[in-house]
Amino acid sequence: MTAGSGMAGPGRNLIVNGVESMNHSMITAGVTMNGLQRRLDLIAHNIANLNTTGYKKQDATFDDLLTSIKAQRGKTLPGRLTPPVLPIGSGARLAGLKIDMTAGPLTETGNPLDLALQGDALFEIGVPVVTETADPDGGPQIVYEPAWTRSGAFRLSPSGDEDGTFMLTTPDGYPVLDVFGNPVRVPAVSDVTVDRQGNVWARQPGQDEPALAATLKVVRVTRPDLLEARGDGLYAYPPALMDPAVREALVEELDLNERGPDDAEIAVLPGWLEGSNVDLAAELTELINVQRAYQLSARALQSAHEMMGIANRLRG
Amino acid sequence: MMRGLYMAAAGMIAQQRKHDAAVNNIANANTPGYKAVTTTMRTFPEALLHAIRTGDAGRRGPIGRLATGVFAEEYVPLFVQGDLASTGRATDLAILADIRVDGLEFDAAGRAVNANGETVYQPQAFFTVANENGDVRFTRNGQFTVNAAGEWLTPSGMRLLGTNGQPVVTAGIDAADIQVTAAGLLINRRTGEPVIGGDGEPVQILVSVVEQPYNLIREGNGVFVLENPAEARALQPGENVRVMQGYTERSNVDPLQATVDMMTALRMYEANQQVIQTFDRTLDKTVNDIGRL
Repeated sequence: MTAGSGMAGPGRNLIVNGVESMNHSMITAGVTMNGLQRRLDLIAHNIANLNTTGYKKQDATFDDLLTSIKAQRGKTLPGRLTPPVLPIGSGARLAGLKIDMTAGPLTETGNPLDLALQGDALFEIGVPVVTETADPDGGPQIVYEPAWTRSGAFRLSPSGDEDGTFMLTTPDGYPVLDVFGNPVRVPAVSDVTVDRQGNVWARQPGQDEPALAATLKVVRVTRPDLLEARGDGLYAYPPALMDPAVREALVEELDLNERGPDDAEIAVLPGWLEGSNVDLAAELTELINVQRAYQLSARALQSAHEMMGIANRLRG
Repeated sequence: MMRGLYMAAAGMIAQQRKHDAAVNNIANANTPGYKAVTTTMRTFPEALLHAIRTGDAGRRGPIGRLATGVFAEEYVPLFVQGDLASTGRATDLAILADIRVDGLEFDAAGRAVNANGETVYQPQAFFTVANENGDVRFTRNGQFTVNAAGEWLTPSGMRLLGTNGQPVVTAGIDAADIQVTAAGLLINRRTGEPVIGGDGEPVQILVSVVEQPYNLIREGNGVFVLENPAEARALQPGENVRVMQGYTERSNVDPLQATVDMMTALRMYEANQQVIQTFDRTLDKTVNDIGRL
């Protein structure tokens, strides 16, 4: 790495001489209030999802804005501490939006299709995408793009196919995928249960023993900090990383059957749901903090406004 | 023309700069790692006033010196340790520093006077980052994110540097599994072994110590730059500096102080405006009333 190219004099590798503007204070205050408003929006979004199953809270931080660095020409007076430049800041902006993937609290519901995940794992959900290549039968082909979720509030929905099967879907209708990447299907009238290893058992009326319909695909993502929210409780990597070749290195498939029913680390918990991981106390504390910062910036804006008024009243 | 008019105008501009600095402090009261800025005022060089023509016999010659105005000379950052706020995130780092120098007792503002009567400033510790050109920058904002390639980035995308001068890369490891020691060494929590970098050596975060912190120029985006990068040295073991993982260093802005500074600047601005208006009325009389027939 090349060492910094250094400065022969002020302004060598700095941005020098921003435009001199009278209402600099006003711009600083206005820009900062904008950033604080967006932070408030995030907090409100988190609080609104306090009871949403499997919701993962979003955080953001602030960064100070690029300064304009004015070179100060002329003799440097004795007793001066800093180099002969005047760095003028422009406030703060919202930066670093992050999703916090820590697990939420578990509640027992008793519903056999409500699933929670214990350990560092995610369910794989298929987002249907209509492709251009047509089915041999003449219709457009539907391909399922993967996305992941912790929310296991699944239900059975009719698949619409001629065989009359039902698919296991999220409340929004996205099919849950099995280890082969296909939607989990069960026969029309059957008693569906899921075991701790993600195996879906369907018992048809008149049968004593349930039959194995599919095994749920459970994955661990190696880079949870790169996940983005896709809405409806689904999370996925940015499109560039969802390319199958790249994705392979970033997603680890977990074979729960191989791990066995008594695996302490990863398990599917039927009859349980994971709640939102929003900590209301922390969000409200941050809300108060941001509100006060907003008030302070509004006060600064008022002060800048008054200064401009004073300048305007200089003459007449 | 009338000296006072230009002095008052200079005063207004100086107070405006002071107001800008106070507003920027208020704006960054929530920015991690931000250091509050104070404005120092300085008078213009003095002019020697000389009477050249007067009715009073014998009163000629120099009257005396008069300062011809004021300007905002510098924005001095206040390098006081900010409070640490716990976030619990593995990639949030904060520096807790109180560097001791033999024989000196630094005050709350980081100043001390040595045996020779010179003012000495407390050396400050920073994370070292590189911008997209590879130039070295210094920051106290330790809110890093790890990208897909395993590089540790600041909120504005600059890369955190290790002791080998290269960017810190932790590819293939979940950031939550990385433990950062107080000296900046990275350890894999699952194996207990140090994380090995591209050069085969354990990865250690470079904490730079700047002996003359006031030579740093605030560039924005949370970073400082040194005119002479050689003035920064690597942290030595045994210095009273710790890297705290799971914490961020809050801004050291005191909102009350910043608000008072802002109000003072505004009222001084107004006072100077009154002076200008007074001169205006005086000039008005001179131009319009004196000599009216």
